[in-house]
Amino acid sequence: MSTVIPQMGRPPPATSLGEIFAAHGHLRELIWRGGALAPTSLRTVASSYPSLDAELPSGGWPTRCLIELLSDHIGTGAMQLLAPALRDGQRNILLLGFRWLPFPDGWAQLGIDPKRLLCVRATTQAEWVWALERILQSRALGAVLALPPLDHQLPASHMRRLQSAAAESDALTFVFRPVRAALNASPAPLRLRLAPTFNEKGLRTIDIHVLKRRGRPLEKTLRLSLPHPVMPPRETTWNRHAVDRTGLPSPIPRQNIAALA
Amino acid sequence: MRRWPEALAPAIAVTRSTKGRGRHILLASPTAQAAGVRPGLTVSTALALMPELVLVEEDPAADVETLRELALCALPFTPQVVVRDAGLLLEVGASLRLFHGLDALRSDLLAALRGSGITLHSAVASTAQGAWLLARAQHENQPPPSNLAAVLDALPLTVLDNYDRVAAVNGMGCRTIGDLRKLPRAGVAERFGDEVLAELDRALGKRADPQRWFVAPEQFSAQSELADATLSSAVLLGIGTRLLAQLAGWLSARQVAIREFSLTLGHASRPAKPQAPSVVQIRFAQPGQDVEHFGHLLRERLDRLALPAPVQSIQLSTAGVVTWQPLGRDLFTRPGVADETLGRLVEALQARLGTDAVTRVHPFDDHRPERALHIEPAHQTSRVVADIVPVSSPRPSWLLPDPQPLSMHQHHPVYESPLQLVSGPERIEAGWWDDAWSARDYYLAQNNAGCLLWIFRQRNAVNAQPLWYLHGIFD
Repeated sequence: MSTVIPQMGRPPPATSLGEIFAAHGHLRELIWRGGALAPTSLRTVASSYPSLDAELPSGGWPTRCLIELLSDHIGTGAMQLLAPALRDGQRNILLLGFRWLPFPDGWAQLGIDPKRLLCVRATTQAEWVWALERILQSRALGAVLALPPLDHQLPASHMRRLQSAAAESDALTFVFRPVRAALNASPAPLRLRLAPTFNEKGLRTIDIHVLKRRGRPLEKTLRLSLPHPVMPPRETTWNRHAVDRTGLPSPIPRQNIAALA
Repeated sequence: MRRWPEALAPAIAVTRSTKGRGRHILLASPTAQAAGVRPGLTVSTALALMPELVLVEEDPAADVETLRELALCALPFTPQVVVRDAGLLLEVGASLRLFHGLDALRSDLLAALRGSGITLHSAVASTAQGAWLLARAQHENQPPPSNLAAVLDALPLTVLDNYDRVAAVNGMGCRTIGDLRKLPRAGVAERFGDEVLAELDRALGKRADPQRWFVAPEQFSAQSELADATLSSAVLLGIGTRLLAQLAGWLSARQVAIREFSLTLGHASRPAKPQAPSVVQIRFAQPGQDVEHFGHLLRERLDRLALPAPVQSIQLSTAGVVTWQPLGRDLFTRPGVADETLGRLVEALQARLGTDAVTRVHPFDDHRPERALHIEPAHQTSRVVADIVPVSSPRPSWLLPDPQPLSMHQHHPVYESPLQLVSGPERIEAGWWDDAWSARDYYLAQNNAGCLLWIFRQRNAVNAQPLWYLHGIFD
């Protein structure tokens, strides 16, 4: 057994891990600890929801990987969730396989210039997979949102191909899938299940369950409050688009719009 | 210079007929050479050595045509190309740095040329004629000789362009260039003419050797006849790629870019049943010069092409030729660079999925939501550009292409579960002037799951029509 004798003129050796890290910051990257999330060498885009960023392995939405968002509903608020990350940058956002039209006014209200949107239609699964793989090879896009064709199980082999293509792409890549996809393993490094909710004040929230991430699993479900679409005072909307009929009886029974009050 | 599939190539020799010496061997394939067939032998000697030898008479016109095609393929590597009667001379000194040295340049260049299905020999030397003689002696894959004279001296006389003139010295025991150079110059000049000495001097760099450089033609057109008519898209793509390699040389030599190219596939047709050629036409969003990208587009199109009959001939032609304006190569990527690759992506997607499958959405000034946007193919610049007039009321991120009628349950609209109206109404009433009058009250609605939807109540509904529709999704 040897004793470490501090030499004259040098600080005594640090004893706790914290002190060692304080003195030699680069060591922190080299040591993996059980509770830690994966190291942060990837470029990430902050989601601007601090409680979500804290649970994402690299402190934000990671690039160079597929991010699976699982939900069985429409109108969950997924776009509200992604919008802050999609806002920055001038590069195009590609929408693959969506059956709905992006509504320019709505995207402008999310803070995203609708001129950046590029829509790609793919009707069969083969086309969809080919198109996404080709899209991920491009360096021109800031983000890719992809919705697979209806009623198709994406085989894991396809997902593997797509994940290896995504590993080369610096675009944020979100793939929307039904909740039952959670039953099958997926090579996507980050999988989140989304569920729309509303809080006791009737304001919009979203529940996020992290199914898979690089690092220890997350037990709890995150609940984030989303910006709620607000209807402005009635006079302005009445006057903008329609004949002024405020003097006429209300078109629907009063009790149905109690929530307005 | 003939195109033979490598594996099927028989022992073959090209012959030339001259008045003095009759029909003799000009070139022999490796298998023939192994049997002792050497250039310069008479046909009867060669056949005695190798009875199964296939003899082909030289066809200078076809050779020159092939060489011009090869010259186009070589142009991306150097602008200084000379087409000679049986080969090419390339001045590569100025290209060495760009292509990372001689070895890399040589392998790239040979790969490009061999892509044409040509068997060729190459050599490098400090003089044009020296390289030429070394190539004829099949002195391949060597660095440029430091002592050119010594290497040339060891070559047989048969490699000389003027071998016909000096053939007689063979009988005098002179077999190599070195032997010839040992003879007194005055005597050689007197007996065989000055051309032999001139050739040797040019090879050794003792005499100026001006060259006539190959000039790319004004118009580009390349064609290929197929030996066997084919329906295979892989074969067509292979030939198309070969023609595109010529296009690459032409584009870089003339410093132009093209807006479109077309591949005309001539079908084997009988006089009784004429068959119009199939045309594959590929247009670009921006004039382009990147032949590799052209090849990808061509592959997508050929994969989907249904051919009415086997293809006999292929012709590549271009249109929309403009002066090439290269993008500066910046250290950091700029938006313009991203735009260029985006154009590529759009072209690739449109080639496979169809032109109308890649779209952009443009806002349009109309209060009716379904008319407030225009969907147009992505490569077009929109005719109707309207800025977004900010609307103070909430708008959904997605709009259903057609409003979806909602079922009713106890006077409440239902989507998966009964909908609660969250806010509204916003009355949108417009279109009495264009026969698409709509009078609707829009509401934000939420179902039990918490999904936020944009629904409207039809105010001008005829009796049997449903009242409530789903029109948008607040995602």
